[in-house]
Amino acid sequence: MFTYIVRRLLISIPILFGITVIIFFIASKMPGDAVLAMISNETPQAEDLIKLRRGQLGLDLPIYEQYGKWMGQLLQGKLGYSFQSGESVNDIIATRLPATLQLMSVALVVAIVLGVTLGVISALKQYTWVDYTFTFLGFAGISIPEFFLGMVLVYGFSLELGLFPTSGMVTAGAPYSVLDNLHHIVLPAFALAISRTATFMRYTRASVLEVMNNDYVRTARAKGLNRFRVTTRHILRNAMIPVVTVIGLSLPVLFGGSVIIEMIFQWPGIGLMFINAVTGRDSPVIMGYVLMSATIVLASNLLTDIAYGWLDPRIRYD
Amino acid sequence: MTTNLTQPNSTANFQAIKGESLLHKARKRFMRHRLAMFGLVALMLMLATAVFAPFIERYPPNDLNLEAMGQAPSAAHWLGTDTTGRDVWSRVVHASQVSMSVGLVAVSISTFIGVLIGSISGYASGKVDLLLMRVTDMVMAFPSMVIIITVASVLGPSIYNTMLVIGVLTWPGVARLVRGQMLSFREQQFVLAARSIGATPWQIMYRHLFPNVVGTVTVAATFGMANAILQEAALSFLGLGVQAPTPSWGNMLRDAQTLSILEGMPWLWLVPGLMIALAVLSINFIGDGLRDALDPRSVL
Repeated sequence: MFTYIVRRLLISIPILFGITVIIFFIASKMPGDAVLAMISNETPQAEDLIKLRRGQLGLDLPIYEQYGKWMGQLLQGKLGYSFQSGESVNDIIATRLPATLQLMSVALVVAIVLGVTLGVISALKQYTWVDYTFTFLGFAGISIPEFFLGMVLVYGFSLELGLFPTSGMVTAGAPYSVLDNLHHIVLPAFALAISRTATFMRYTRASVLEVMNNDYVRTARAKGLNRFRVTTRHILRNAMIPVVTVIGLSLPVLFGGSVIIEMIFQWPGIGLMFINAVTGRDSPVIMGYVLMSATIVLASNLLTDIAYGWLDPRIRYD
Repeated sequence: MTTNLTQPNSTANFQAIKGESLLHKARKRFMRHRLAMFGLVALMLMLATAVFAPFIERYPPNDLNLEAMGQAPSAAHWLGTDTTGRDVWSRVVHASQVSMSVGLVAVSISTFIGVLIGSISGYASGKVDLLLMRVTDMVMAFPSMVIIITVASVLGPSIYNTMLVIGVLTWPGVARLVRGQMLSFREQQFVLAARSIGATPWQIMYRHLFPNVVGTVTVAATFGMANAILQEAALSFLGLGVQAPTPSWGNMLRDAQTLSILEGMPWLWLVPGLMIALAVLSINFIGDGLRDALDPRSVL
């Protein structure tokens, strides 16, 4: 196992290197220019100012030298400075990441609990109307765009019923309270969770159906164990193994989905920051965000594989 | 293939049970899948709407009418009008052209790249395989929505760039699928037999391996089209996809983001949103039916 992890980490190094090249290349092709956006043409001596600012930001160097400089910073763990605000990208990410992680983790928990429960029920009631309804809802869940669902939720639960706030993470101006925070997270987390819930449900259903027909399940039933015990101890524990993989692989999807959800609900996380950086052509922030998201994907893939081997002793990585 | 599937089941099937071909069996399984048949009908209707949009529209979709701004649905405007008096029904109808064409073109691009890279990688194996799979890993390492947004913002918003971005960035799934199948098929005896009678690698690939992956690729491409439509809608919603005045379901939702429109004029955003969901749902149903029909062994 240890050698496997080391080998996987070593493989990630060239991949990460390739990723930095791709990101830098893409960002350097960005049209428009942060400097032109910062300095108006009306300013006296605009041309000189633009030149000066370019020099300060290192934008006048040849592209490979720019990449070298950026890479040098990266190796020291620095993601550079925002063109717009001048803040360090590390700081921007550090202050905004917790909000996104909070949203993602609540959504993930909701999706796992709901998805697995519904999936098990669906499998136990295979080919009944319950199963058909859940299957249909599952398809609907992966087909409705997150942003439309978000708008429907805001319309129904905030504007019509007035049950939840339309946006933000806490009530502006009010002292922080956990309850207030939770009150704000319900709608965005639900909007983000729906498609994952549907996916987890489908995989759980398939996996439970496969495990259910095994001999040891029949033995457990024959011994006279009650249904609940058989379901939780014998079926579910084995059926969850492939589902864990799906959960691990859905972290990047949640991460990508949070961009749009954060925009709709004005959730102050890094997704919202990313969209603002894209509109503002703030390439250091964009590069930092994309690089971080790629790292998260690689890490979650590795963790998923490790968890898979740990949960299922039949799997050996050597 | 799809044209075959849409034809009504001919009576010839019943006479020739003995020699029923695989395609016939697949077609029968597909036709029995009720949700898939529903999806097929719905998708056909939407494609027809897209093709015949100029005949179905009731007003030119981009014509402003300042005397009829923000009207609720009525006999004159079936789905009401938007804040500049454009007829929502006509815009929804024309927007189906965008979704259908972006979906089809994007998935064609990604399937082409995916099959090409996957089959080269799987058949060649060794160093070529290693290199191609590392490239695939790199593309896969980005959350798809994040990289699509980034590249779309670099290329600038337009319908063609939207097709290109989605197509060029979503092939790794297909590539891996095809590679895996190629790896397992190339060790089988029919390939050995072909090689022993002197078939060239290209012949083996084309005559013996491709037919075996067509089913899997068709299923993957169907789900891919559903995803491409969702991604186009998301990009247009963010203002990075199809640009005004061309209507797309995604940018119609974008125009309705303010709370006052959200609450006061639900007809502006409910219908486009439901259309996205219906289009994607129909295609997903078709994909599910195709999977049952073409790949009965798979559990999901």
